[in-house]
Amino acid sequence: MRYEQLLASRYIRAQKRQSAFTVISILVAVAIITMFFLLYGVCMNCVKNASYASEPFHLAVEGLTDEQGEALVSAEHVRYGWLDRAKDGTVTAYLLFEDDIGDREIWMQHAAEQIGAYKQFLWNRYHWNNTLMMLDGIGNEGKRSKLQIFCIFFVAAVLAAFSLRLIIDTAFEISSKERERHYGVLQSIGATPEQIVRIITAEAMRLCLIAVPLGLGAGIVFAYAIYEAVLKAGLADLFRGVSKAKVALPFTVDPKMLLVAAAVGTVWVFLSAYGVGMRIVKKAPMEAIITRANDVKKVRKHTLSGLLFGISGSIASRNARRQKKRFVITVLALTVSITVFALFTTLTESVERCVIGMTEYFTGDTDFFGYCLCNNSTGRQAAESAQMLADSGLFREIRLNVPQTVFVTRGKQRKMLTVGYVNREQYEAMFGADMPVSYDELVRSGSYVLDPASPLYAQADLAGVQDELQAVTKYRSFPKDQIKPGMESVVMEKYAEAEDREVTLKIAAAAKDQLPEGAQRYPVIGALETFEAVKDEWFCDFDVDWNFECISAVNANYNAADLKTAKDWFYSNMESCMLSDNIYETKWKTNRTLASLRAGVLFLNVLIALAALINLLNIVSTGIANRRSELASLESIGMTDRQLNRMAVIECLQFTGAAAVIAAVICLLILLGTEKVLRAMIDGIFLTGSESEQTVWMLRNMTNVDRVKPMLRIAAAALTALAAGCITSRVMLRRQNTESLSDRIRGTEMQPDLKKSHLLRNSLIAAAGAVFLIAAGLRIYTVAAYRHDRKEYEKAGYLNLVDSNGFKMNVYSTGAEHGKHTIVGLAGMGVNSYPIVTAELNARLGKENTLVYPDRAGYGFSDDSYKSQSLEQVVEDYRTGLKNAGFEAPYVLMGHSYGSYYALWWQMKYPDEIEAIIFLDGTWLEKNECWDSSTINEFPSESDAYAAFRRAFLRSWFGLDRLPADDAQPECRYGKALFSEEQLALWDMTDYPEWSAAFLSELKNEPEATRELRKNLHPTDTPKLYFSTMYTCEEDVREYMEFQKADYEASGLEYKMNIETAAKYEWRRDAWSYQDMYENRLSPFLEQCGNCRLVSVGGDHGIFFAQKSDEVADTILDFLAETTG
Amino acid sequence: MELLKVENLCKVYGKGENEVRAVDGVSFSVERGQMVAIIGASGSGKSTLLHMIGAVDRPTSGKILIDGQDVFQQNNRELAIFRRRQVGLIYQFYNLIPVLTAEENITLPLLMDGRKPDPAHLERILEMLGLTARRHHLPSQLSGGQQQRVSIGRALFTAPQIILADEPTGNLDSKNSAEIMELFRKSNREMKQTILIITHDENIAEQCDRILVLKDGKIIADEAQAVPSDDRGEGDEQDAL
Repeated sequence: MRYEQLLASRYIRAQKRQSAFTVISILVAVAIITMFFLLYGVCMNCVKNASYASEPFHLAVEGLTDEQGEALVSAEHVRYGWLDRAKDGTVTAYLLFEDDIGDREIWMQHAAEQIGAYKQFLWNRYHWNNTLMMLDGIGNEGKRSKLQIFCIFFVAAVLAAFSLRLIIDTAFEISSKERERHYGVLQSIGATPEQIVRIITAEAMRLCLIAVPLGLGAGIVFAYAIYEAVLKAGLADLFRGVSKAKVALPFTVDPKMLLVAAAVGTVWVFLSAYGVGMRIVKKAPMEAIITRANDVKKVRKHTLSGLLFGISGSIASRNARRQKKRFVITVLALTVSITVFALFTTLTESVERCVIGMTEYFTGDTDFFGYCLCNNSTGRQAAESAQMLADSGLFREIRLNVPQTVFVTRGKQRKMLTVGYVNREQYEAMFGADMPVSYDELVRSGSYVLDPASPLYAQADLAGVQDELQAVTKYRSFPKDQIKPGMESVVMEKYAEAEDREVTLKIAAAAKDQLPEGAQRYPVIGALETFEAVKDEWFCDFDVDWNFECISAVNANYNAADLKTAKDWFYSNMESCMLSDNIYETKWKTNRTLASLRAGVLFLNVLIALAALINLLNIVSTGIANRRSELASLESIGMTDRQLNRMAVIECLQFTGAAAVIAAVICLLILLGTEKVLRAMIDGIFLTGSESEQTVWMLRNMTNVDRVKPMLRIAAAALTALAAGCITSRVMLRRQNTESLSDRIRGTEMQPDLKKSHLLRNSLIAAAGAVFLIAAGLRIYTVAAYRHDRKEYEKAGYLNLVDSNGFKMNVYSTGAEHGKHTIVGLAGMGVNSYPIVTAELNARLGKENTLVYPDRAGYGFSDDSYKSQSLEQVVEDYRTGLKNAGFEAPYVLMGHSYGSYYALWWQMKYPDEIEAIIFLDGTWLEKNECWDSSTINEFPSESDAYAAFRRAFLRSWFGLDRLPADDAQPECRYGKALFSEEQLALWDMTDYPEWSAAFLSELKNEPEATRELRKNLHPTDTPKLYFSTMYTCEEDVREYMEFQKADYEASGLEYKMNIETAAKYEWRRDAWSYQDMYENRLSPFLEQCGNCRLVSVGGDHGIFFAQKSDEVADTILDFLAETTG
Repeated sequence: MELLKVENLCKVYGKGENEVRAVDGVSFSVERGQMVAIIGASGSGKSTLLHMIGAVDRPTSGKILIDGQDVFQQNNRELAIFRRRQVGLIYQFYNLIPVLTAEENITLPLLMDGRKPDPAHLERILEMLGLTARRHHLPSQLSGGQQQRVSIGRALFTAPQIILADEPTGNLDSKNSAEIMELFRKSNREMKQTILIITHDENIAEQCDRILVLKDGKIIADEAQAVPSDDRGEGDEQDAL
């Protein structure tokens, strides 16, 4: 080994404490860098997922013809495309590009030429999804933006790393200073400066070997901790639950980011060591040898500490300042961390208060805005809707107002004036304590109040005298029995034909002050009761909607449950009360977002504090270690232990005290500055000069920044640092005391340990061993659990293993022994419980037929198989298994969902074996190949999907699926109302080994399978029956919701939707798209199959076993009787 | 043959009022194979002079020529190599590297060259120093005398042109001192090693060919000893190299 390496490794082992500190410093620095990069990766991923969830395409082009759409979808560079029909009959094409399209404008022109769709591109009937393009790096601009963002981020991270350099630098500086003399000696023997630098960097790189991987690990842990903290603090609520939030914002560890972090960390450490080395070799060797590191050049005669604490204080003060640079760096690090700790939380609290205050200012304390609807054709009145609002019990302080228009004539001119009729609560909210006249008086006299902002104010003589306003209303009359839906707007258009009615508005008083900006602004205000009295005569026969503002009755902190209750109520009652603004949700979202922000920042604080603390402890302990002989001399003169301890404490105080004072000053400056900025913002943006004094004061008050709390925090942080430093000193001093006094005075040097320490090797082996043991344990548990489950399955009578092609297949059969037909059930994708859930269906069908349910490889309790699960393979496996189980052809194939693929293939390849095919909502072949647009919402791209599948496979392989889930909240169990507890338990058991290798292979093969089928699909004569679950009418939707409700209630949950209205709403919304799917996608497919009858049973995808099994069974029996006898 | 030539060497510390002239215009030359003692009171500039000859300190003015080459004309790297191969420095306070064994300390200059030490040569040196049993011990496990011998071994190992010893026996008892001097004499006699020793000890000075006396940074005496080289005390029983 080169001697530099030898020396480096010896030094590391000789100065264990110092090396340990350096390692920890590097570790923390690398951890912080890693955390940065990982969170970048997570954020980018989240943005990508969010983007895919909302707009899963790169380019959307509207208004195309069918041919144009097809052509566009198969254009160059397009990986996936799909077409959607718009309401006007045109086609919208959605495209996902697979690789770079270069300049996107050029590509577009080219494509436009090719498909002859100039109009669309000329008229901007296209939409580039810039976010997604940037994330995927498509197109020149996309690539550039992605690079830009990464650069910005990288620069920020490097800047942050820069401050971490303080820690690493100090650690190296300390260890090198101690060995300055040695380096001098080495140089005097003949080491070149490069060799000295090489020794230091060699040491640094060796420490990196340990510290960087640990730092990466710590970084991952920190990042995950922040992720969890942020989610639980509030972000998860925005997604309705932790598990849902984790799906939308997954925490992934991107290996690329880890590499970048490791590289940055290592380079940083290297630069630091190199810098220290260069500084050391600047000295002439003799200087280094003779000058002892602790030589003092100058001391201050009188110090503050000396004054306060006597001689101990004097010595302590001088000691601390022995090395100016080190002192400054430590104080700096402490100051930064204390300041950050004190400020960040305070500032975020202030910001939150400001934001919420602003919202409340504009919206008052209202939670919900909306309309109490009337329906003139059905005779529903707005007052009834308002009453429903009151009766719901969910809201308090319901304020109502109805705006009406009158005209004021001035000579020949007519000026429009809005009169607002308000209820008591609204009136009181408007005027507060300053009511010009009481509401009761208003009602009694039928009079009105004038707003000073009204243009009429100046004209009216309001020295407390009652005045009158001559106005004109437009009166519209229409026979009530002829009112039809939608007529309101027609009649409104005929406004001009209304009659004029002259009315007199008695003005009772004028408001003293202008009403606040945000409130409803009506120049003239009257009581709601007055409106009820005059409306038929003054305004029109038609009822009009009322406005409402209300506050949530449960006025605790904004919480998700109350929000959901309110929203559900509005959803179910949208015919009467329509919600237009949900301020409660806004405030709740703000509150939750800021809460999570605070949590995240708090974590960051902890890390920064950790770094500063390590620095402090390093310096304190090294200081004591270096002055071993000095301290021993003091003891030999007669200093007691207590006095020595006291000295150490005061030394720590030097650091922490200085840091606390500086931090306090900085904090105050920043706080004052923030206040000024906030105030300027408010003044500049929000105040228009016309608000009342009270308002201005209230607004200004919101910007007040708490000054006391940060100071308290600074004190707390400084005291913590002080305590840590004192404890370390005490420990070091006590350790030194165990050696004899004379030894210490003589100052024997470092005691290196020549035993070959295999610490690194041993720890790696131990870690690897631990990981292996845990993995093995989990695997054993999983296998044991599987075997146990299989025994239960057997006991329940479902197990019947037979040989298939290289694996054992479970072939369950039920029904008649030698039935008329052998009906073979082919399960849908991932349905492991097919035999269990079809109990009802089987009971009916099995009276005269034999039902057979073979589980293909990797499904249920069939063995797993590592062969590629192509269509051909699966069908061959089925055939072999069935034969070996004793079931001969011909078969009637009953394919559910994806199972229909196998049915189709089987029938085309072995037409003689198949009597008939029954499709239970079979997967149909799309006209053009695409990554299913619904799947895209879950998995943005194929590679993402496969990555997720692989993860699921590993989770399952190690039995992690069997661990209880994160959310403690109860969820609705599908089928809970229909199946018994035993059946549900068996069902669960079959799902545990779901993620098998065969299943993964099947998933991967899906695109290929689709292609093959499409190539080979041709009409055949074999009779086919297709059950479609698409809704055909509102009744279908309602039945499905009833079915859902049963499950909810069986699961012990409340089904909060109003089925009537919800079903109506959903059918109204989606009817046309079902229609389109029937006509343009399903029908062509059935034609391609040939001799296929379509039966619609609208409802759930699992409807055959769950919801309408009787109906289905009967239809099947009839069909079989008719076609095959 | 002139090995070392010092011309008007000056070393000044501080400025103005606080100026200290540690070495003030020293000039002399040394032949190859000579053993020279440098004596003088504390603060007379002996160590400073020696350090400059060993290129471990830079003079304020003046020249040092070793084998005709101006030492301080070299750049840092060449100086380092010069120190490695041409010069062997021995200090009063041993200055061993505490994390290396005795053997490793001795061979350190060679290791810096990136060469492997000749095992036979190493054996000889260790035997000559009487350290064979202690070769794998760390400095903390050696007595003062043993540490000094390691230091001497380090200086001798590469057989440099000139050995500079700064109070080599200052920290040792008389027995050890005698042994150390015996080593020097042996090296000087048998390997024609040029040695400069700084010492307070008259006995030691008398054992050298020549005595330089320094006072206040200047040479005030330069006496050649008339003692013939093979007439130095009894008892050099050690094996010939």
